[in-house]
Amino acid sequence: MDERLHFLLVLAITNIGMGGVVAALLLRWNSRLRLPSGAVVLLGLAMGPFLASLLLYHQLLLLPGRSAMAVLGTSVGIVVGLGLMAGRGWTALGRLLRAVPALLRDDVWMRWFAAGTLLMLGIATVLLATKPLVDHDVLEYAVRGRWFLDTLEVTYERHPFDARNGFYYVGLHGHSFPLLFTWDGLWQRFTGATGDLWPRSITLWYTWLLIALVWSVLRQWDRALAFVGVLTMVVPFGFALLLVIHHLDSYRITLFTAMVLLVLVLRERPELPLMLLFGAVLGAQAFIHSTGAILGGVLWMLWLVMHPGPLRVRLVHAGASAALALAFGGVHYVLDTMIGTRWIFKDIIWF
Amino acid sequence: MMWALLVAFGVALPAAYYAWLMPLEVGDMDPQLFERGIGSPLLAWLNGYLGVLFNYRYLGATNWLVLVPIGMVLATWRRRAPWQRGLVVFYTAALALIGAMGGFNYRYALTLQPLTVATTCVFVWRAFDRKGRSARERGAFVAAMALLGVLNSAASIHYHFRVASVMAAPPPEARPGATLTERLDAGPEDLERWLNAHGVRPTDTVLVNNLPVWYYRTQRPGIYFWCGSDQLFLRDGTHALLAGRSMHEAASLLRDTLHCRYIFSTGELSALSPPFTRFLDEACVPLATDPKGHTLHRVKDTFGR
Repeated sequence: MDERLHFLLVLAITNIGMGGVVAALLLRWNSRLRLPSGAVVLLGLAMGPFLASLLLYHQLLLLPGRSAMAVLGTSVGIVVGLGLMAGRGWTALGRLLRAVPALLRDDVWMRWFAAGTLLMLGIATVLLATKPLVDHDVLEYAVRGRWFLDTLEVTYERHPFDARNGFYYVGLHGHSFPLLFTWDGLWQRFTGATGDLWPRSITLWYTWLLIALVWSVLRQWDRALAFVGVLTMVVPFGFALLLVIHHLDSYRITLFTAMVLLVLVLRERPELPLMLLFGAVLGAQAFIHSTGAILGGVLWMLWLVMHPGPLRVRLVHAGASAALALAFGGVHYVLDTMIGTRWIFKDIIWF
Repeated sequence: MMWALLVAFGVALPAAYYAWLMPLEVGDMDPQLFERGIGSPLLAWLNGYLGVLFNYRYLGATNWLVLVPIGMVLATWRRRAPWQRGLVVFYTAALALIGAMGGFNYRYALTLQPLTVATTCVFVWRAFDRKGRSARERGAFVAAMALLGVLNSAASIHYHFRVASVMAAPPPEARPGATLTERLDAGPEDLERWLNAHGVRPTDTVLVNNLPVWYYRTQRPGIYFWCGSDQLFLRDGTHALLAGRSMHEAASLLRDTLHCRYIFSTGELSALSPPFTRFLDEACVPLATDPKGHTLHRVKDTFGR
């Protein structure tokens, strides 16, 4: 299959399909969560590629050495099951999508947002055509992802050394980003395509989601403020570089920002369903990067201190959110610290 | 008055930053610290520990404004709701952690960018409302914030070009007249062919100076190394190459113990470690430099050839 067709296939399955499944699931439960529908859809889309990496992680950790077909089939089966569970969430998602044309027609600021989205699409096309994987960190993740693909297992060891070629993985962080390369590689085994267009597109996809998330939050105060706020956020030179280095930063920052926003909702409604979602997003953004693991841990502890409920409720909420955070990838750091590289407790080297 | 002072400070500090504080050349600074923008104690604070707020090169011109709402919460701590106190504690802890663990790395500092911008925008919006200011005044202030951001980015790009203009050998992506593709693609072109052309056989083990592209684009054996910390990454962990060894002993370690005759690096990376640069000059023979600045050296044999 042509590399570009393969890219569109994986994009449709993972970003749109799996993101849509999570969005529909969250919308189904939104009668309990009571979050703004637009933000729920953005969070769902953000969880799509993440879900792919999480499903791979648990399979390669708990059931190592299975065939590529079995790994991919299990992932697809679980996602289809989740899609069926979403039930009436799909109806809600459809209703939201049908409302978009009217929103664009009636709100001039949303037309600015649409223009920005088209600009992003143009930038994405140019970058994907001209910018290969050349930057240090992302190549580390890519090589690690291929290593997972070759062995189809996740192991923990003091020195992650690949005896086949002398590669030593110096990364500190959760395996989510490397596993996206593995995910793409698994699909390549079926399509016969080569290249890395899809993992390279992840940065751009999440940059757009991050912009949309900040836009949707600031829009609650004022539509013009959303425009100015997003402009202020995107014009720094560092943000432009964030677009062109195919790194995982927009991926982790999007989910980190979503986690903090969830805490702001929790202050008004410290309810168990929201606490569970907070735990899941905490684990997700931790599984992408150590910064998220550390800051997420700090935020989790702070929230429990600030929690207005009685001790019993606090303990239930703490336990439930911690369990979800571990299941959504936080367990990586426990294993890495205990039986792996010792995570941040080893001698950290700055590259 | 206060708002006018904030705007004045917002213009004056970045102007001083680009005009005087940021050096164009490494001078007496440590090359690694210069490259990270933290070559002096003042810069270590501005671009490092407080990089989230003041690293103008990468993070915008108005992030420091978030200090105003933080300061107001701190000044009226007892009267504040628990969630406001919690948020300030979290933000301050995040600021300290990111600053201490690598604030000079703008990508880490960007972690707080959406929260910083959103908090600042909402604070300004509400403050103007509470003070009974007109929508026009409020709009003028946030528009000034955005404009300052755009001007700061232009100054940042100009600064990067100024640095490149005084470099003896600027990296290919920073050379004047470079095309967009050249600017975006710093990777080696057809690595396999280049290596074969210079006599490196597919089975030869090569010392790879922090260039994972080696493992991504070839199936060749390598020894991972980072000259910045002088560490070889081997099966049993890290070992020094140069520390505690003469040039001759280091060459012998590579050649005779690790069976490695070649070194793959870039001029830019090697320059970050003066001892490694000296090792390349004294104990190795340069074989090739590609148009992107990748270098290939051969370790001299026991007879110094």
